[in-house]
Amino acid sequence: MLSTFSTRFLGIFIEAAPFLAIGSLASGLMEVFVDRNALARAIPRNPYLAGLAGMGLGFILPVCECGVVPVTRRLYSKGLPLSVGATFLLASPVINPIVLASTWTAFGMGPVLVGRFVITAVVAVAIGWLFAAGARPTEVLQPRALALVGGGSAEAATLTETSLFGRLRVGLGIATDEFFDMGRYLIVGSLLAAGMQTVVSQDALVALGRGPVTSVLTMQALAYVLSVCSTVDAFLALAFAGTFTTGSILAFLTFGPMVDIKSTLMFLSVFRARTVVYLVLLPLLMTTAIGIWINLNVA
Amino acid sequence: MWRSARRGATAPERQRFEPPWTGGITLLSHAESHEELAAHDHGAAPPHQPGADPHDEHGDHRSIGPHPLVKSVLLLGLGVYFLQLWLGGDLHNYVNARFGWLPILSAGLFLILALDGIAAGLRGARAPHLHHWLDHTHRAPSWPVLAVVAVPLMLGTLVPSQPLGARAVGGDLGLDPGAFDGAIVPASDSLEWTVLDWLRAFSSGSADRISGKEADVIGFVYRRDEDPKDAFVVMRFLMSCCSADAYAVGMPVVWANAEALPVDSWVRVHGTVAVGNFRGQNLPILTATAVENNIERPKQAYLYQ
Repeated sequence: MLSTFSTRFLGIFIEAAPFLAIGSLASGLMEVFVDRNALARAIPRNPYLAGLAGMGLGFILPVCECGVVPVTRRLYSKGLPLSVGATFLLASPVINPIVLASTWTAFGMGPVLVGRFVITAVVAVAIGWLFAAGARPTEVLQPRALALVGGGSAEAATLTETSLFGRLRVGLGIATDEFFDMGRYLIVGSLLAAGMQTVVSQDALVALGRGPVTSVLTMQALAYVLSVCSTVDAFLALAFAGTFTTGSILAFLTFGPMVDIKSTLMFLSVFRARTVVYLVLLPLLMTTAIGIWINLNVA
Repeated sequence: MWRSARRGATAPERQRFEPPWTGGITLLSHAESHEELAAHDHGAAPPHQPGADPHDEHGDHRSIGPHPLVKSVLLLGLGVYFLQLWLGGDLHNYVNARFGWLPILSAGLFLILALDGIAAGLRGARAPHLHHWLDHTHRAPSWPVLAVVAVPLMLGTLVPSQPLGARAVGGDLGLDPGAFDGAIVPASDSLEWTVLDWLRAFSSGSADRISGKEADVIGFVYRRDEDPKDAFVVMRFLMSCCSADAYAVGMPVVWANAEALPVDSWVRVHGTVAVGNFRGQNLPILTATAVENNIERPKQAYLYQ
């Protein structure tokens, strides 16, 4: 039992660790090397166009959901608008070159690959726009993260006088703390996921997998609980592709990267609890509706 | 407070930025940020200035938190663990063989962070105080956080490394041939097929194409109480990426001495395949002519997708 649990857990950890480290490193180095003025200039003024830009950011900064939260938090410190950050947070775990490659490897060029990217883009941009329309930073962000938005929105540091080496060392120091800060969420999430896999039988899960509605909900629950990294979850989905409906596979591949146990815990470090509820429920409802619609009308 | 004054220098300029939705936020000026970088470089420990900061409770931890070298030691441990995973064979118990570069990358990144922290410690910096240069979300990890991050290191070193086996078989998922719809039948000789190849071949088309063919497969023994006395399942774990997504696939084997085979032991089964019914399912069933007992577990215990 302990051996099985340990093997399942370490599998996730060993797989996720370098991505988490790269995410933390990108976050730390971004802090010392990215000019927040330049970034602020690059984002369109119009909040709705800015939301679209948030989606594109995902392709420039390839992070999976293990690494997206520290990068998002850091981008907020660079003055990124709330809505753009929200879209980036939800879109970038899927809309990046690594996931494009892994999904293509698993499913080839076809409805699953296209559907995954289109659904993710639609859901992430729509939620970003909701943030742009209604949300205020004080209502959305943790007080500690809030300071970032204030700090990033005006007078910015350029650090031009500092040596490259000096900056690098500061960046590494930030990355180290970032790794611990985020690593604890990854580890607690992975412990939960591995515990579930050790205790709950696959039979019980698979029995639910046929109906147009139950299959979608099952795959979403599976995606949420398993917390498999978005860079590799396409391969896991492949195993269910024969037994589960297409809509449920797409729900798995779109909902999972946006929201799972791991990322929910990580969201709590940036957003207020009420916002985290929205960040979980909105993608859930939207991907559920799209998945069921696909099952009933397309597949 | 946003940051502290540097040692032996005039206090930096501070700006107050007060957007309508906050109670006022102190900003880093250009000079401040630069100076804090310098403070890090020279290992200066800026004095704490209570009272100036609405979030002051976040600033207190540095005086009571773990020594920063504890982080470095933990990172060093992780780096060494990943190095050992790469050099030893245990990595195959956790991740797909095609991710052989993964622990090298991890080890490299963790060792860089560890050595940087140790170097900073040797330079005399009590703590980098980066959270002050940065923002208030940034806190040096506390003891509980360090304990959580130590968990994988403890599990990785204290629990003997094992691939998933019979005890981890969660159900019959792998026996559902629908899972392999659209799979390609391997072109090689059927004697070289793995358990996975047989299931793929079975689900890719007519059962006639595999009936009567000779098989030679290895795997671990799995049995359920309700299975016939002269049958067991020869199983392998199928992995896409890592052990978290691995699930068991298997072929039922008919063998008179099935009961004598210990569950979870590795066997080599030679025999003939025919489609039949097992646990209420149509499946390729291997009627054994020879079963080699207790063979050595392969170094790569999993099959890969």
